Amino acid sequence: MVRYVPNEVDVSLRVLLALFVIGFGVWVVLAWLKYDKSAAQTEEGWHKGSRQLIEVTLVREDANKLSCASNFSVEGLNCGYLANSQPRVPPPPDDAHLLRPYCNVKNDVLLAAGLWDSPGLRAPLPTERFTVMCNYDIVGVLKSVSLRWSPNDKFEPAKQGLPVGILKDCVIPQ
Amino acid sequence: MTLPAFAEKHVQAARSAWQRMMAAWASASQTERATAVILGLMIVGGIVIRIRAIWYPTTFTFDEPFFVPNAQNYLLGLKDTNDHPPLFKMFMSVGILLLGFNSAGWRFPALCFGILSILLAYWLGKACFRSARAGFMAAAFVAADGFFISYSRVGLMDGDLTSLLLWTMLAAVTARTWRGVLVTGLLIGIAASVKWSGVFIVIPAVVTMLLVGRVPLWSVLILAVAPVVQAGVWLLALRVSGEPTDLASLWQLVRGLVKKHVEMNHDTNPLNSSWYTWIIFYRPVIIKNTTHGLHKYYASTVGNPVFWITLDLFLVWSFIQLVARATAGGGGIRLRVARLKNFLVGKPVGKPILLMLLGWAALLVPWAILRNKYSFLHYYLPSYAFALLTLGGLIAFIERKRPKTVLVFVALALVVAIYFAPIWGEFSIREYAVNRRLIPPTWRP
Repeated sequence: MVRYVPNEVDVSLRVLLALFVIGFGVWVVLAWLKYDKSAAQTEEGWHKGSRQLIEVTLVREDANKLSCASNFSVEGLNCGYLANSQPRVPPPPDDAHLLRPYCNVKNDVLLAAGLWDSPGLRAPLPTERFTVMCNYDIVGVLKSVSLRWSPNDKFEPAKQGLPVGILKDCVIPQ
Repeated sequence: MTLPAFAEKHVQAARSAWQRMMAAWASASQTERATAVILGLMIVGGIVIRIRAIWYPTTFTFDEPFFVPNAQNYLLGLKDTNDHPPLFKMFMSVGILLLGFNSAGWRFPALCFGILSILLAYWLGKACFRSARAGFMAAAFVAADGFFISYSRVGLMDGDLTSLLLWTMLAAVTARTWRGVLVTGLLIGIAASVKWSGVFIVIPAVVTMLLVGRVPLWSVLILAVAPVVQAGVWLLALRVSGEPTDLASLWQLVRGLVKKHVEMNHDTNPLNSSWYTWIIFYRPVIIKNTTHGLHKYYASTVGNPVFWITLDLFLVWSFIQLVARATAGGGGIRLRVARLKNFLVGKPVGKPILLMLLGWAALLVPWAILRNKYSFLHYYLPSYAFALLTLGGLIAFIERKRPKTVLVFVALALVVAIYFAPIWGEFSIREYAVNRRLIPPTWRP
């Protein structure tokens, strides 16, 4: 067996070579993982007036658990609570005008109304966590808003502006 | 040397290393093989965790807003307004150039240097302890430690700095003539061009070169190349960003930044922690922290408790042994010194452990001297790398006599790493599960 013993300069050249090989390898792996689809800061095509097909993750109890709080109204859509965490009076007339926070499967948070009134969700819902595919019509953005994911939690201010819209044509994918 | 000759030499080196690895495997006992498999799992798992979904979150996190816009400024020919030397942001601008202005782009250099640190831990451990097994242990420990994992996944400079300091020490350990000293000096200048505190590596580097490499004493003067390198890097950065590139302007700039850092010493921050609390990870910072619904995604800087608790116990035990030998009755001062010397360097592993611990201590010096009110656990990252190298050498030494004990140790370290992985590598996790891992309140966000 021939043993290669690098000299004092070769040692650092070898480290430099390793750094380039690692950099190339990381670049290839990230490209293979399609980093460019995931790392963009904004979802392509998400703007006021657009319609997006989104997949929302839910549990059956979310119909009574998810709430938002804000003094502002967007195109007649309101949160169920005011910024001081008190219920809005009068409350939004129906689910089609009541905003709630949801997460899509890409972990984007969004505010939406109309989910629970969708015809596709009238049948008995699964007892486990499930997903719903909907058309999401974006009508605006709300920044001064707090979110609550359970009635026992406190409202926490959203860290960034959230899209506001209406969920339509929702179905549970089979 | 021509490029084909260079490539041929390194292909030969890789082939030779593979043959030696196979020979070591063939001669190892079943227990040692089991230990090697666990160490291999730590390295592979550590690299996978570093890479997976590194782009998440896609927005700035922790101190990234201080660095990323300035990295982009270099590509736009605009001024760098950050208060650190320019090199880290220039590395980051390479990532942005390759992958685009997005979270993957600005975290690319941290990931590359994070993986390089694993390799450097192997090379440095092997060179310092003259044992490939010690290098293997050190590499696995760096790979399976959350402090290094979290800093490989974020656009912050301490991971890059750590890697460059390990590289510097590798150059120092292998230096035999003035050429090796020159390479070490160049690397000190490069490390200090990422963060000024990196210059303190000069202490263990000089001691190592004189004691291990036995380089001529005069050649240490060549380390004076380090400030020249830093000035060169800075002038290049000023040129790229369209700023004046004369030495007087550079001097003004550096003076202004020094003044700013001195003033920052009076600032307070809720995440502040004193240097002596770092060795017990009293207040680790969660450098990536996002919430989606009930799901949390954390990158905590808490280290692998199996590693740092063992190391702390070793330091305490060593201190007690030193005091006991120094104060034991009988014999004059010479006998006491002889007893201390026998304890410190009597075994072959003693001298390399002392050198690694010198690296660990030297990089704590700036924070201990300044008694900084504005200091954070992540300043400990470079020191901690040398702590894990110490541990690697120590455990490899123990394995010669107690292989089963070491097998249990590395298996425990792997189990703990798997348990903590979700809060090091931003897996989806609920808050109650986070709290089961981040038990002390000071570990939580």
